[in-house]
Amino acid sequence: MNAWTLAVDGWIIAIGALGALACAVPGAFLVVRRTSMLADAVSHAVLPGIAVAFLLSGTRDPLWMFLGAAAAGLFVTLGSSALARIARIDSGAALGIVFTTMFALGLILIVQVADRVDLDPSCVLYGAIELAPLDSILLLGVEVPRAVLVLGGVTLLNAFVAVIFWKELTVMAFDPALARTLGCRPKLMESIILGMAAATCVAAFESVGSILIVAMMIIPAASARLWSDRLAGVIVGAMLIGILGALVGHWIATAVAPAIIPGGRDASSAGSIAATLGALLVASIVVAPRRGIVVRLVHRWLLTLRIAREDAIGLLWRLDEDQRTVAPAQLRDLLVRGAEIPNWLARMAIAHLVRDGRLECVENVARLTTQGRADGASLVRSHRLWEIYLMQRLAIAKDHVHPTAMVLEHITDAVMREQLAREGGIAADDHGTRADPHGRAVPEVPRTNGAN
Amino acid sequence: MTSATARTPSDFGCEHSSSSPLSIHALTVAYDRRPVLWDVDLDVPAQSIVGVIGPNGAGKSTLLKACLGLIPIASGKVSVFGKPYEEQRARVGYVPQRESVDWDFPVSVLEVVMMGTFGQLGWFQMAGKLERAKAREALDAVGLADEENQQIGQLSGGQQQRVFLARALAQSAQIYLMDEPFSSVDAATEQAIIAVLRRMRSEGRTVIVVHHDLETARDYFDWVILLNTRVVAAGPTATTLTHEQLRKTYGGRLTLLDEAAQRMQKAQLG
Repeated sequence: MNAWTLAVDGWIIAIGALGALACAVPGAFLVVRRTSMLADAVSHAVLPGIAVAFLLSGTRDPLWMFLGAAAAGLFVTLGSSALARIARIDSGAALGIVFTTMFALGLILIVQVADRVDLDPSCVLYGAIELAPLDSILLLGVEVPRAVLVLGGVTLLNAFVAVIFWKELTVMAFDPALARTLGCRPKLMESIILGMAAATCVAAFESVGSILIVAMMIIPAASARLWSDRLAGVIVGAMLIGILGALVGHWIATAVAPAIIPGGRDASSAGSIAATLGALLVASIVVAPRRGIVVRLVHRWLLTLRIAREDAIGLLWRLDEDQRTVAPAQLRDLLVRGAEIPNWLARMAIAHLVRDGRLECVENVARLTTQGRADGASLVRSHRLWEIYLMQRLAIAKDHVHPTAMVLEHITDAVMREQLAREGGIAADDHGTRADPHGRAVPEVPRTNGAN
Repeated sequence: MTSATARTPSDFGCEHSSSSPLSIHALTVAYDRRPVLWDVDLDVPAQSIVGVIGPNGAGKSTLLKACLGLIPIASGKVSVFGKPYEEQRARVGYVPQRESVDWDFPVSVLEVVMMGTFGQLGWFQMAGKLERAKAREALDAVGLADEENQQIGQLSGGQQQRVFLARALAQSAQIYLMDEPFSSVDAATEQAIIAVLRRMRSEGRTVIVVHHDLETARDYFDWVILLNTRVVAAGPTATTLTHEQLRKTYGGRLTLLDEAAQRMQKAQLG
């Protein structure tokens, strides 16, 4: 385990973080438009573009590299849509064909030109973020890695483009047809997104490589989408997640991996950063608000408990209607059999009802309180109104309506209930004189404080 | 072209009226060389609510999209207030089908409605207070003032349709082309939408609506265009929406024309 030094590790983290910052804008747009595959296509397709630029210019001049990459990026989108149209294959397959073919051509070209220009094929694929700090430029008296300047420049450029074309880019991304009728030039905006993606790929090539750049472009944006419901939020979130990924990824590569892997060598920082981003996505899927698994499980559990409680109240209300009384243990058994729920859930639902003052157990008899009776009446009213509705409107047989009404009663609020009553031809002042299909009265909801 | 041509009295003596909000002349539209709309020729009257009615696949959406330049036209001409559409973009509003966008898109209700104002802003000009106020006013008009901060996917189908309508209102155009604004909305939303359309008409605007509920058509529209790959009839609702014309619109498919269209596609003609 090596101690971090600012001059080396600081720059590596800065390069990783800047790579993620540069990726955030094009990445977010590709993810929200559900065209993430284009990041993969562009990053691979720029390879022959760069190789051809090398061949033609004989230099590593960034301008030439960018022009070659941009041309290749444009070619992959135009070429694949033309291929899809002419050969009549689906657009995903056409994209896959064009970018892999271009990537293969790029590999051949790069190996061929590698002798003539200073370009290492494996560096193009996997990047060499660890070596990036060595290639530095003196700026205002400080040795700054070239990668930091290039990635920083692209980050600023992407942010600038996003700000000045914000309204055109967003309306294009959400509704291209509207964008066209507003004169927002959606095709041009789409090219601008691809141009940003291509420029970012070129800038990040030497440090993170053409494969990991896809992870940097897509994963932070996809994770951020789970945390934010606004496009700007997704972009800022992707930036923050990218910075976190660079920091944690490099720490894992230099401190954690050597300690747990025999041999004690540092792992690849770029690889660790991408793997960390993947882990952050998984974490987001689990804990994100609203869309996260934890939140959804909690919601489902609360719903299950609420339904069990309502079933207990409905059961007791109906028993009461028949002037029958039950002991708490009997109520639990009836609930387990009637609602097909586990014993512990029935026990818990009853305990909750007692605690909330809906249910009381006096002399071994379970009885609804005033509040409990009101809840029961509205539930049974919903149930029987649904039965009437289902028979009248859907012509469902009398002996088939009960199970459906059993489900619908739990999602019926007061507004929907009275709408049902109106549509079923039951006036509010019927006072429970109307009968459901099984000959039972549709109860009124007694007025209490806080009845739902 | 006899029954397909509908003329208002004002353009007696000239081919098409230059004052008509939307004037379509001999418009033919083809997908991949296969014609789907043949020789549409009509002048839409100003300050009216116009229904475009016809069976599935009749080319109703195609007609709107062709007028807006969203799909190429094979031949013919569309003019808006006597000038080509490209010069009149700002005066024409479009409400696409609800299914045409991704409602999971990370954008708020207010942001979507503000998009309607983007046509009035120049390049590099950002939406500001004025646009925000316009959008809020439009949301208020469709009864969604309380939902402005919701992500659009949180809304019901009817509310989503009203968001689109609010966006159109914020656009302040003179003529609106709406693709099935009444599709799968509840009764209350339908009433809210028609109220907004009537308000638009009373303000002198023209609204063209793709619609497929014949029961309500008579009540909603001043004028109808009966479409089935060609204009079967177009004119005032009372005289045009007749059993005879509806039978022609929904009845017999023009199999010979279908066959010819398919051959045109195969032969790469046109």
